[in-house]
Amino acid sequence: MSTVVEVLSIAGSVSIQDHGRAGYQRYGVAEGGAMDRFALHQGATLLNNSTDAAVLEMAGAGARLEISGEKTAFACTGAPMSLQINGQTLRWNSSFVAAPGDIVEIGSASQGVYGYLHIAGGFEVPAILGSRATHSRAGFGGHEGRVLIAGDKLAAAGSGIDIQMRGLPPEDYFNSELIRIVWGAQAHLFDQNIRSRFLDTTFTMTMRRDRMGARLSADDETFLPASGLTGISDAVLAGDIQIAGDGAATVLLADRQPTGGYPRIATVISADLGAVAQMRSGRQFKFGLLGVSEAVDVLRAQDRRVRQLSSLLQPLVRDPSEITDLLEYNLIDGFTTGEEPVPIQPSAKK
Amino acid sequence: MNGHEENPDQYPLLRQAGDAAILVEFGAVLDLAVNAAAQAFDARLREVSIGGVLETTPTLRSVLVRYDPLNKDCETLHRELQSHLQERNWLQAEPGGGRRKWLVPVAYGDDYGPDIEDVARLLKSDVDEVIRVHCALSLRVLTLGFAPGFTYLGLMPERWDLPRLNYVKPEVPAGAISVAVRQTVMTSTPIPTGWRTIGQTPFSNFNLKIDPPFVIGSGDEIGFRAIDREEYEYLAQRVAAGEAILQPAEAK
Repeated sequence: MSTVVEVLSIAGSVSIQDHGRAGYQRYGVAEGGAMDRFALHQGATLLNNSTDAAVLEMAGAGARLEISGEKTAFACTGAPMSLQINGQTLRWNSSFVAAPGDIVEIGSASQGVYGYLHIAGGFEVPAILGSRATHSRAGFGGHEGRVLIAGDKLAAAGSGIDIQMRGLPPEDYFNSELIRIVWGAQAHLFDQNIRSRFLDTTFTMTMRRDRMGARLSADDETFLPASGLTGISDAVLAGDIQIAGDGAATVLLADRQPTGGYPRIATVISADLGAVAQMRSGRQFKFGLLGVSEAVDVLRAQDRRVRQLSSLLQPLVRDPSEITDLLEYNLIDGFTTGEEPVPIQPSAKK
Repeated sequence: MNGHEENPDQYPLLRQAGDAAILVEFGAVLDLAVNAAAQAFDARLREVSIGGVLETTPTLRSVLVRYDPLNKDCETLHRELQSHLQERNWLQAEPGGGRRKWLVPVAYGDDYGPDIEDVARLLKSDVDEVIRVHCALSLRVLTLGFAPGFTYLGLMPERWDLPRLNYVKPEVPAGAISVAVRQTVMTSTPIPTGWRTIGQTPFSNFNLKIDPPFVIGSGDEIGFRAIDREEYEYLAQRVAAGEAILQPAEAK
């Protein structure tokens, strides 16, 4: 008997994601997958999951979920959201146990955009083209090829009774004021003047953003290349910053179209894709230029951090599902009663 | 290694694309030789399988080479690609080995192809002739892109250099056969389009009931045959049952 998670109601836009399906761009399928890959690694570390486990990605806010079947372990990572089990607030970036009949409620994000709910063993949905990620526009992958709705039931692909309750330190990449780029494959279409202005401009993340891309505003600044917009369609990468016919910039993200004809001035470095996806609408930032080898150095440092995550794990004292008379306990480190996630101090900060 | 420092008149060109890809460009405009060069070079890269390369994607006029920057230095890859580029004159290449020929069944006109009369008017022709001429074409798969299984076919004769619509239709169904700018495109999922739809095929180039779900690939050769409503319905049922309704022949 495996654990089943039933969706009682949805607050944000929630879909099953994983590391995406690389290798099919030649057939018109962009890689897709989670918007914040670092958060995937955090969840896998907290639950000892494999790195290709399927997770719930929650945009802006989460869902109200009822647990049935077998008791198991969960973890939440990414944009910190309010998290309660049977009305008791739990800390973000931590694992927790939920038992049959428990109600897990994940509300709005206090920082960032994309939060993740992980379950021990991952969610059980079929792998299509090597991935369980939802491709909503083409209607395949994930749960029935679509975002979740009330009434959906998801099973766990493994069990997690023996998982220890642990936490990871909070992250600070949700409020970046600098997103690093390298010049793109079509930067030569933009003259030096436009490129300098691009680097000097303060951009604002707009509301027009989703898993496909994020449109930016820059007051009245536009970045149309002198050579016009009649480019032939070419392959598009996650992080490409395209300049549309009105001169405005859009950062293309996980569910982008795999080819596009608008010229692209720059590409967000791989290590900052999560940070740009997590930037809330209305936030202001600038682009900072790196050389390719500097960008790879940053990626290497991020990769090191991913591999060191397990050394940052801190045990939590209480298993929330076993506490019935919560207020009588001295809540050491495992709980907060406030709405906001509380930072924990890693026991062995490296 | 930034693209803007290179001379755009000297193709093929290598352009760094972000921190994890290199774009190999074979021309500034779309023509069949440039397209064939991209497909042949892509076939060569798949054959030699360079270490650290994750995926190559042939497009209308280029090949995107994605690599793992933690395991592949961009300057080394740049040199390796350059050396493969020097193996031959790729602009004189055939699209690459393993090409197949497919005859795609199409129900033209009526609700399958609502814009066919408009196309006939633009071609100063009539619907019957449009169908006859379209079925007599032999087109190359120039690339797949935009959406899963979305197939670009070309190039059609000059008279088919039709403009796109000046608006975008919110959705055409999977299987829509549409024309513009000397190309025919075939959808495999419902998508928005600014092209004129002249017919619909029950075939899908993204059919998750068969493995692999993609049948037609870049460089393949495509012809069309007109079918009636009855045959469309019959073939659509077979597709829904997971049957592969197209049989390949060896391309010339």
